[in-house]
Amino acid sequence: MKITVGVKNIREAIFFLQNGADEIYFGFNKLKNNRTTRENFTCKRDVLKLLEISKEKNRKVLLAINEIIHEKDFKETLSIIEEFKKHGLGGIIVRDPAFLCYLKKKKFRFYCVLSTLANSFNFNALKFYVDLGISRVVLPMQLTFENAEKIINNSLNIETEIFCQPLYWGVNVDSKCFLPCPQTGRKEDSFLRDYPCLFKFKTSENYDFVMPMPNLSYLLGSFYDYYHGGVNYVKVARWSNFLRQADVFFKVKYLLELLRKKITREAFVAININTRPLNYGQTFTYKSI
Amino acid sequence: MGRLLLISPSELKNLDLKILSSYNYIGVGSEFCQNQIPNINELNVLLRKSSGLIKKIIVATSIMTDKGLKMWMDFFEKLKILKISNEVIINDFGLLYPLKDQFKIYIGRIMARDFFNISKDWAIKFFKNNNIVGIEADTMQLYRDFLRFEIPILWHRKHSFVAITTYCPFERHFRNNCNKSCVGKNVILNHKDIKYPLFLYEKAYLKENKTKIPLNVSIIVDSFFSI
Repeated sequence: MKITVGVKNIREAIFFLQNGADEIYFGFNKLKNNRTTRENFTCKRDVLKLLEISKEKNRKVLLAINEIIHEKDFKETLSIIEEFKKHGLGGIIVRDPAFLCYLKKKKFRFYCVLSTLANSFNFNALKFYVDLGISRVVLPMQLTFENAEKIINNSLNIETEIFCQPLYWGVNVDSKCFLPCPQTGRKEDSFLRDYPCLFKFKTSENYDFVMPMPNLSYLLGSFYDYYHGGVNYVKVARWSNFLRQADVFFKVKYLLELLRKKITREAFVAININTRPLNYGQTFTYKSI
Repeated sequence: MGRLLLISPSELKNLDLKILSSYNYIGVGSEFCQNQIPNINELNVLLRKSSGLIKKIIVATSIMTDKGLKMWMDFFEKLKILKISNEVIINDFGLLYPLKDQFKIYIGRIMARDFFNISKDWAIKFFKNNNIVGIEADTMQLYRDFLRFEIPILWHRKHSFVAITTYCPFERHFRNNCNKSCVGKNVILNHKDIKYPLFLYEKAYLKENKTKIPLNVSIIVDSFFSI
């Protein structure tokens, strides 16, 4: 299982590549993706530098364009991708079926990764996108191994990628959650102290309620099964707070190391790992290096 | 302007048919949970008893895992044979291939989010190729965007959806069979940082839809718990 890491700038890319990332992905402000401006590369010069560094280290780089793209922007988007491809870009992360159709129509062959935001919860949904030309699928964060076998063992040569669910868990289905959120970068959401999906709510009967997540043991078990089931990649997504992302990255490396050393499932699910920031009521902070 | 009442299979059991006099269509199933598969016999009884009251039964479906999809495909086979309904609301691309040749399809409000701002040319072709006859909306932003597709828009009147999970908030699992612990439970959630109460219904969190019904909707949708 390889590690693919999202980066917000060159310094982060160098850091993660030097510390063992197998692949890097990034967003570019001129192209629609689901991150805020400050989480994306802002100038072409930096992108070209990133591609040069990754080429020297023989690592693949992907570009995230994982939002629905306005039709009027298709031509320019493709033009930018083509330019980056000439400088070594290894593929794109997409979710827009209309854009995939456009690439097919233009006979532009490229390594396309289907974003987790496309919510491919079943094999048929995957097949819909395979017909549009994808080569890899990022499984939904909420799809655990018990429901993913048919996708993982697909007969279509599609590579699979997951989040490290013990450390990255979407309390609600990604791309289908419209709670106010500090991650949107919107001014009206900036006062929020944490992700609302991690809040402690009060019911009308005055009971406490938290939006539930599976327990750590279950999620470790799912990750164990995914590893042994042959999933190709684990994603360490861009996190607004670099130190937190680095922390998660090293924890993922640690878990993979244990799996490579053939730890038993029983021992793996009993690991006591600190899952911050995925804890209820933690403070959300923005910090990049 | 038509009116559709959307109810779960559990709600169907206790349905007073008099309520149907205010509706043209009845939707049975769930937009939020794959475990809410209607009982074919109960649907057959509904079809018989409601004849003259409503024009048609529409089946509502949610996001699905492979195990859930298999259960639903068995159900659709029986539905086809008994000719109870030939219209389905889908919220998962995975249902297109198996259903498009034999059912008229509506894009449910969860899946409809994937069509916001999408290429109009592509969408129109996609709708035609996949027998899609309508699309749901529950916010003004979606409604305004979907007008360009020139297909019927179904408007959810009382509540718009805010978030959905596949991890059952009532029973805390992902299984495709359950004890239907959510039945009859409408949990209202409050937090000082969120300006509106959230309603937990099955696997979805909803909020009150304060938007006036837009002018050009074809069908108004009421969920049973919200009437």
